[in-house]
Amino acid sequence: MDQLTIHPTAVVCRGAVLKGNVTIGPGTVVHPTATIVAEGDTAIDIGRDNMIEEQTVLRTSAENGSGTMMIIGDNNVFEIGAGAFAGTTPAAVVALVHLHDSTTTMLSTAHSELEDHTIVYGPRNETRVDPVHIQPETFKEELKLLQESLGKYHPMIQP
Amino acid sequence: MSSDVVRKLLERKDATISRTRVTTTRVTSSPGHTTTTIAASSTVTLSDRPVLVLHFGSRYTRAGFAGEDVPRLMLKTCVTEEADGSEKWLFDVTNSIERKALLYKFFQKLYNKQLLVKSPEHRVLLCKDYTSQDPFFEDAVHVLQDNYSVPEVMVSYSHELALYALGTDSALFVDCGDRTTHCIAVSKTYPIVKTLAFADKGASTVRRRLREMIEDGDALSEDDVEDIQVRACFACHPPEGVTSSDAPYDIGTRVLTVPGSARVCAADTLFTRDDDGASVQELVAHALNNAPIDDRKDLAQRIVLLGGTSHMRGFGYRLLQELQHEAQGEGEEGTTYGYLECPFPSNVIVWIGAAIASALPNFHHQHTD
Amino acid sequence: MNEGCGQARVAQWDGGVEYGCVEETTVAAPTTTRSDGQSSSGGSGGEGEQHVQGEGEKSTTHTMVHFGGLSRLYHCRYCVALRHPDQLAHEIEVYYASSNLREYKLANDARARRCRSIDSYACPLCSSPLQMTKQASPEAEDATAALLYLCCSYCHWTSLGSHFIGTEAEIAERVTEAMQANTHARFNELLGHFKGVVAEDIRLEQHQKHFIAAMNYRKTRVYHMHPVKKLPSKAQLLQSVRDRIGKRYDVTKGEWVTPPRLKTWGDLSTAPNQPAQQPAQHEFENTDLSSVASLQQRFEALNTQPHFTRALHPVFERYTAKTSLRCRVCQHNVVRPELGPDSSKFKIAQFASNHVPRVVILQKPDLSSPSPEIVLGIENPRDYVVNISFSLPEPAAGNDGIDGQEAGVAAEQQQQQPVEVVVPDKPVPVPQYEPLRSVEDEVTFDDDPPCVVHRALSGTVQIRLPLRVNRDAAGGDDAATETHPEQQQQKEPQQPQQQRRVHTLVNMQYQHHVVQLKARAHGNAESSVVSVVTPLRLLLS
Repeated sequence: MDQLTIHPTAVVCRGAVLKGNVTIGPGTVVHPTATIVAEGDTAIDIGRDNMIEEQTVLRTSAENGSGTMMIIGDNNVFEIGAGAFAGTTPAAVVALVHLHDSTTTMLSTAHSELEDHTIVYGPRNETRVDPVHIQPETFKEELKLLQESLGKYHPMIQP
Repeated sequence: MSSDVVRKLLERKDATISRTRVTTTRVTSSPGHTTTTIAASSTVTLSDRPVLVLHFGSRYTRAGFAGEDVPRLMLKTCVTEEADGSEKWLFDVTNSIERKALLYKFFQKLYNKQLLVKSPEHRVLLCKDYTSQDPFFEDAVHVLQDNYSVPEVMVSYSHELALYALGTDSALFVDCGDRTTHCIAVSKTYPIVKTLAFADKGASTVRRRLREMIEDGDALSEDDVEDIQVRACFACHPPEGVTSSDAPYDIGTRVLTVPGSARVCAADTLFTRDDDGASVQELVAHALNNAPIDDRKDLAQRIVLLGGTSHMRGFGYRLLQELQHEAQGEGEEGTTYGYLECPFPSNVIVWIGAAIASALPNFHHQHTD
Repeated sequence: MNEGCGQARVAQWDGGVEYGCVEETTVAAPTTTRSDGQSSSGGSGGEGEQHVQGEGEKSTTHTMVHFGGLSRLYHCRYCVALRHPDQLAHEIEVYYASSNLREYKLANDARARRCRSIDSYACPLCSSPLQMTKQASPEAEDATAALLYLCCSYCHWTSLGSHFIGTEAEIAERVTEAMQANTHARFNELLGHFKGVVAEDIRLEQHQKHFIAAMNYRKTRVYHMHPVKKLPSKAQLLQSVRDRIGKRYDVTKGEWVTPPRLKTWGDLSTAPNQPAQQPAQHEFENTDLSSVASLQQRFEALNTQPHFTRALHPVFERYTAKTSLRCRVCQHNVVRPELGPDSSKFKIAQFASNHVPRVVILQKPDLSSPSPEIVLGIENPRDYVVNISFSLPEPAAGNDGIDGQEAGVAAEQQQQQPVEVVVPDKPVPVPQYEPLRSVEDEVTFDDDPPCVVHRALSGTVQIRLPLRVNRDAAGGDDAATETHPEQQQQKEPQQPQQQRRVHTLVNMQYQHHVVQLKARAHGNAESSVVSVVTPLRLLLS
């Protein structure tokens, strides 16, 4: 039974594709043409204050049995075109992860869990854990702006 | 002698000066320097422009200017086709015409896109060693002179140039390149030709082994295998009780595993005598055995590693280990092997030596007698 | 997985049109020492003037034809000819930093900084430009002490963990220091030493110059040589050789002396017998390969070439350059860049596609049918009517048999081509390019109906040209031969593998109105009309 749970303060634009058991936490901004698909019995759980930009693909597949979960924590950024896939094992993307455009991270084989402050960039998924990395001020402002005003300019998927 | 005879002699002398006069000069300054100067065909005063120093390797080329402490560029010695991105390696072609065409494109990119200088303003110094092919340098000289109007092209030997970078006059050079490894001893600035030994193996052999050891390795591009070789592989075995772990390597479409055994055993080919050729320690041993008896002890402690393959992690350690092992096998336990201290990275030592040498005021023409 | 990856390759018909640049050059006859003096493609033509220096004689002309897509060719207004990029000389005008367009440097300044920028930096991990950002520290009261740090917008590397933070000047200083680590000091030490040695040599040489000149002169005076009274014995000769080892002849003193330099080696040499370190245990057990620097990352820091990523540092960004292209034949500029974003004067583009009628193959010819045809679309970019006529290329005359690529192309023209174009008799006029055109302005042309298919409104014409396939020409293509059905079935599986390029050569002649330039040269205010012939290679498969 597909269960789509969207928190009231989350900002999910119409045009985003959400399928399956997807939970979106408070403050998360999901841009149009983002694809979040949880096939079959799998589930995707997205935390708070995440930014999922256009053309991203978050997908869990039910190929090798069910019960796979992709857990995405807080303050993550999925830049335009990023991809994250989970197949066989439960995958977790905990917090403050920054997935760049043009990545296609296979979370099951490469990293079943991405630590905090991981940055994945480039077509070859160069991965780096950078505890010193801070998100620039401009980004936080951008997130706040989108949270507040995106609803006025773009039709939303209401919870 | 009558004046007619003298005049005829002078005329004949002028007539034989052609554009590709090759003069071998012995520069009387510092370490017994041999430079082959290939005709200066113009009278542009070039004293204010630094010499362009090019050291071609079979895979990478160092390019830069004299007087600078490090090359400006480390380029691949290949030409990339615009249409499909395929690479044509300069040292792969055997046909002179094709090689000249490739060299033309190579220099075009070098001058116009990378170095950003005007070719007629800089004399060029090419670094040659005993294993590099002569036709390549002849073609390079022709292309530079004909198409790029380089005023003067000089060719010099790498073992002599390296001495400038080391500040010494004797050393045992082990040049570990991509396709060949060779070894030569230089004593009091004179190369001892009997000590020259080379093997047709190098980093490319290591990569071949690596491909065999990685699952589905043949499908990988050469650049990927090179990256694995540089980052994941070791030239020496781990210490007692330690095993190397498998490392994941992401190439975008899939994640492959570099097995721990591959990481430490891929470079074994360089240190064992097999179908591809002799091992590096054998080359060194050969060089020492053919060196003058008095110099052997000194040279054994003055080993210098040149070339990029020696950057493999633990290469220096492994070589000394193997040499000691061989010496023990021969019963000569007293010989100590060691490296000459040099702050420069191995793959640029020859280039830096060339940069020093060509920055000297009287570098190129000193005709003795 | 990688859906948008673009891996699917659809079999494309890579037919098209390539334009040729015809160049007539005079080349000095190769001297005997340059027996294989072929120059590689391009560039040898106009260069001939520079270094001929009166040697040899000028030989007869020969043409060099380059074929390339029209998008790659340039148009030289002074020669009124198409120019391939190889026929143009690059000249660098100014250097600039690609991430900071305001920073312009001329050659001298650029050389002083090794073509590196002053205040733009490149990321050590991905080589993309770095931005300098202020560190948000609410504790800092005064704005002047704001700390700046570098961050990369691509891979999000920041310099916060390292010591590259501070004021702009501090960062610049530390980056310079990092770029000089390891090599700079030692290099200068070595260079200084050798320069001193050489200065000594030069001084000696200057001092000895006239002695040596006198000695050389005396050698030419053969009759001055004294007869040898008594030859030294073999033992004496050997001893004299041994005595002279390591010495050189000092003319002023008239004896062999040890030059002083050999004694100075000892100052410079470094310690021998250094051991090498075994890599630490944790390196073998490390599975995170991103902590090890890749080759490209190491090549950005050639002085240290560190093994680990944490030792990489930001570097100054490299300059790129704006180049002007100069035609080698007439030595005029074909393309001149703008020297700054402020100075923008709109200039008429010198690219060939703005001057030459564009030819496109609209309909792929079916070479197996009895009367194949090709439909060409011709577009006129200029603002005057252009008459296009076609002709078959004639075998190039006056080929001196100089080996190389020039002969190859000429031979190509000489050979009977497998497919030939039947050229129309009358020239076809193509109207000018007009973006706005109404139906009333329609101008009628007296056209040959079988030939001209259609006239579009704005400056285009479609022409149908019949093709004639030569069955007995050498290397006829597979598609053109008519085979029996059985043979055809056998051949069919082969065809996808054998993809032979079938092309045909045709000359296109059009008029070009040359305004101002030649007129000025001739003191004539009217514009002149020049007829230009361009070889075309039509790629049919």
